[in-house]
Amino acid sequence: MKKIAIMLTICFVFTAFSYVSAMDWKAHSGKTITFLMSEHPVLKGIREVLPQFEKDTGIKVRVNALAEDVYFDKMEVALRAGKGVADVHFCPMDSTAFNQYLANLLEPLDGYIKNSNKTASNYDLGDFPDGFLQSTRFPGGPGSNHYCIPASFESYILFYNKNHVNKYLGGKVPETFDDLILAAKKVKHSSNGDVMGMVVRGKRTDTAIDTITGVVYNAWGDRNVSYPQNIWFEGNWNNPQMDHPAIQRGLSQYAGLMSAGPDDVKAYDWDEAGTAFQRGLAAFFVDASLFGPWFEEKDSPSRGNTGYAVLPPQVKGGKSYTAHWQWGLGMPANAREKDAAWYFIQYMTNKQNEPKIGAFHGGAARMSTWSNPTYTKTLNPDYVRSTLESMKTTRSSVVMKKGWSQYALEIVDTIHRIHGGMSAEKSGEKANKTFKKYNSQ
Amino acid sequence: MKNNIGYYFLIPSILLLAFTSIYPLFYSFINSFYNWNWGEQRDYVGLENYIFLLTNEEFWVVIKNTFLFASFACFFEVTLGIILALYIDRIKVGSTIIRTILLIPLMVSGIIVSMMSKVIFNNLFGVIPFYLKKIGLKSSFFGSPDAAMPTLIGVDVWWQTAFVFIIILAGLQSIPQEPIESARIEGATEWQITRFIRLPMIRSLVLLVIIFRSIDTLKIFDLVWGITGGGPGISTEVVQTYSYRLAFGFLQMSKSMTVMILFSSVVISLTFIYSLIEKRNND
Amino acid sequence: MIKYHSLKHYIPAYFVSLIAIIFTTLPIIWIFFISIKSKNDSFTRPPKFFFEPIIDNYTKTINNEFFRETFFNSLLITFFGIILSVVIAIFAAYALKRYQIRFKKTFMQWLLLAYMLPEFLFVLPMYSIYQTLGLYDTHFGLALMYQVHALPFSIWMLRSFLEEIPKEIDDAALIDGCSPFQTIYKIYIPLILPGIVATAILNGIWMWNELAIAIGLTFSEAHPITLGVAQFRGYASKDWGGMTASSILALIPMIFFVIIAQKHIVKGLTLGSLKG
Repeated sequence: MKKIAIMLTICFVFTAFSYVSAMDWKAHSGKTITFLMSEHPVLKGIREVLPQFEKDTGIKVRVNALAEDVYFDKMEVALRAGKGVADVHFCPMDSTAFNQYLANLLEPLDGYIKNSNKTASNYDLGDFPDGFLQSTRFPGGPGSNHYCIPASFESYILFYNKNHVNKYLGGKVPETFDDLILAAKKVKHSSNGDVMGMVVRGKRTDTAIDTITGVVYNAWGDRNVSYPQNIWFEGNWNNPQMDHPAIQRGLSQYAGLMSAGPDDVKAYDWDEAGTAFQRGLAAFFVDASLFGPWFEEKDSPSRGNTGYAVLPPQVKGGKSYTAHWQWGLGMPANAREKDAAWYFIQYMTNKQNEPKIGAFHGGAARMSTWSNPTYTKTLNPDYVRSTLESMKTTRSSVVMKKGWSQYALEIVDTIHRIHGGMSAEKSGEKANKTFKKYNSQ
Repeated sequence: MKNNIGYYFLIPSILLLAFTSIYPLFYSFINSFYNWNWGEQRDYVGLENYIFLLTNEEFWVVIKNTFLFASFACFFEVTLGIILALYIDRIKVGSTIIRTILLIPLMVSGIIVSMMSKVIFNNLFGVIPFYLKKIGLKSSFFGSPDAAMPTLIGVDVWWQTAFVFIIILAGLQSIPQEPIESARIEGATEWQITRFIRLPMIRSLVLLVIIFRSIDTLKIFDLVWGITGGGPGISTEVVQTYSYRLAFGFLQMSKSMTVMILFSSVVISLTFIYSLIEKRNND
Repeated sequence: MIKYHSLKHYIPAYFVSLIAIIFTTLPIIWIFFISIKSKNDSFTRPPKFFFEPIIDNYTKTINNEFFRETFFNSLLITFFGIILSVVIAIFAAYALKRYQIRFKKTFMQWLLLAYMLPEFLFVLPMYSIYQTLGLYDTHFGLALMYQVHALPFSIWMLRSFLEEIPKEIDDAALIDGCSPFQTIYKIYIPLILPGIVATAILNGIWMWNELAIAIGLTFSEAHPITLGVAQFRGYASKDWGGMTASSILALIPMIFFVIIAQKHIVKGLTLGSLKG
């Protein structure tokens, strides 16, 4: 009898305990957190969901949003502040985050994810493609920690203006990448320079590296892409291979895209290029899939006239490859309200809310969201189809190297040299030399 | 005793300036001898940064670009500003409106001027290339390494000439009128009056605008970063964009500060020259 | 006193003004056009000069809370900044002119040194100091930091204007026996009023348009208007209408200020004090 009583008591206490210690959304009610963010469609989605978040958790959120380039500077300064000013920040999941990790500025998240008191049991981290999580899993290898949770991703695809393709190319979208360059040049010629064949980023900035990587991956094909070196180095940092034939091909093809564009393409950053395409001044545009929602905005001139496709493969009928890049939600190491911050991150990236937020940016990171009609029904079906297809063969453009921006800028310079007439081989060799020089600094 | 009051009057400015400038100066100076990467790495490296920069080809191209930009922009702005001021000085009717309109470019922030320039000079949707094409001229303002810098200079002249204009105008309006009136009565032409009375009277102001425009143009950042980002290639990279890129782009904080220390030394020597000229003026 | 000149005196002046005005305003007018064009009318090829204007961009910007906040923040910051710079500079300039200051030359050069330092270089060292002192993200803190640029310029300017004053007035003021404050207030300020006004205008404009220091030393409370305008640059999307409309709106306070301030850049102010 006594034994049963003890067992019952233990069971009772155990159940009561597990009921109490299961994750409680209201555990941090009354706290206020600051969210440092850039002006991004993800923010639009978060703002929609925010009132419900504040109701469900009782946590008040102060959103501090800035234009992207201003945000980057702000983020770097805020992460290094003596007194933390942000509790959650928008995390560029690439070498930027890596450098911040090296400087101990980011809070590791595994402790929160694996803690059943802090994370709901249905959070399902595995719903994110591993390639996405890997970008900010530092230092890489066993025992690593996650530092950011993906909030959105973009892959690099081809946009085309249906009217122009119909008018100048008989409605035929080019089927190989070299054909694309030829077709674009044809459009530029036939329209007497009034309509550009292609418009892409041509400005000298290291931020173009991800788009460039997409085009180069398409030339890299099914060869292996390993990290942290990515394809730019062979095996270790001391072996840059900017003159590898596939890389030469990719960089030349990007330079070819530039040649099919306006004469002052070297002054174009994404806003000029995107605007030119949106206003119908170019037939093709190669850049991040996230431009799609902007092109489909209610009063956009390109609405209904934009076609979406994966980057044309190297050979007809072959496989297309591309790169992807992600934004995520991260926690500064100097955040003051870490637990409440984690609740925010978790809520905004869980299965229930990601589809709602994703409807605003069209770059949902969870696999499950892409089969969720809440998300897919708000987007152009062509866009969804092409982006999904690109997701099958996309690889992260991340290079986890200290000071990677300098090398990225050299890659842009390599393309510019090719665009200016230098041979790809020579330009690549020059880049190798420069990489080695940077290594020794 | 009397002199002490003078020192008291200077105290607020000295305090403020010390607070806002000495510490940053010191901070940059000290850091230029380390290899700080805005993170954990901060080892003493002595003069390594200085040697690196002074032997780096890119650094000298940047210096050349900066001085090229500064000398042309400054020259045009000062000249045009003075000419404009001399003419507007005569106007009474409608002068407020005219002066205000001429000041408008200055009121626009650097970011907006950049955006404006990109939109107006863009080959695809820009007004200027479109009409140039119509009369048969091909153009590539910010896309060509040769045209980018002159175009930038042109934009700065549009933007900042009003700075010179308003200062010289204020000077012309506050010089005593008797000498001018008497010269007129004696039959001097307007040009003679300008040359022998007005300009000499505002001599120190002219020197002042030259000094400040020189420093401002040497320090140019907004326009270059916003419009060309230093490109195409490094044809428009100037000291400030180079330094900023080192700091926020490559996280090479120490190198960035070394650039600024080197650059400041050059500008200080310039001010020495200016003060010598001023001394000669006053004697 | 000759008050009227022949037309020959005025016509070239108006002609030059006209040309200058055309050059000056054309780019601004183009930006204004973009702000009143619908998306189908802007960035077209060929550029459109005739279109149906819309005011949506303006209503959107005025209703934008962030923009409104930054607008009023900048008004406050610039106001503080101008007052600080002009008041402190008048006293400093007077001191440099009137008294024998031993370190005069060094001081003037130090002013230039402070002026020539790039803005973003200040942000890092001052960041922690500002946080400790509680000046971080405050209007006053920003106005204070702006003095590193405004003070050197103001002191140099006002000193130059003071130098212009004929020696007879200086001597008369000395004999007069007033206290320094009275001398400054009654004699020198009226004489160099155009210079003071020009200084105030130029300082005001610079502060109104400053960005680098603002990014570094504000977080949310004291965001200036430059950030309010920048917000329309999104990610993979750009609200040209919002950006241009907010830029035009940002000009308005400056224009008002300049119109009002200019009343004091008028010939003949010196004559009054000479006679009096």
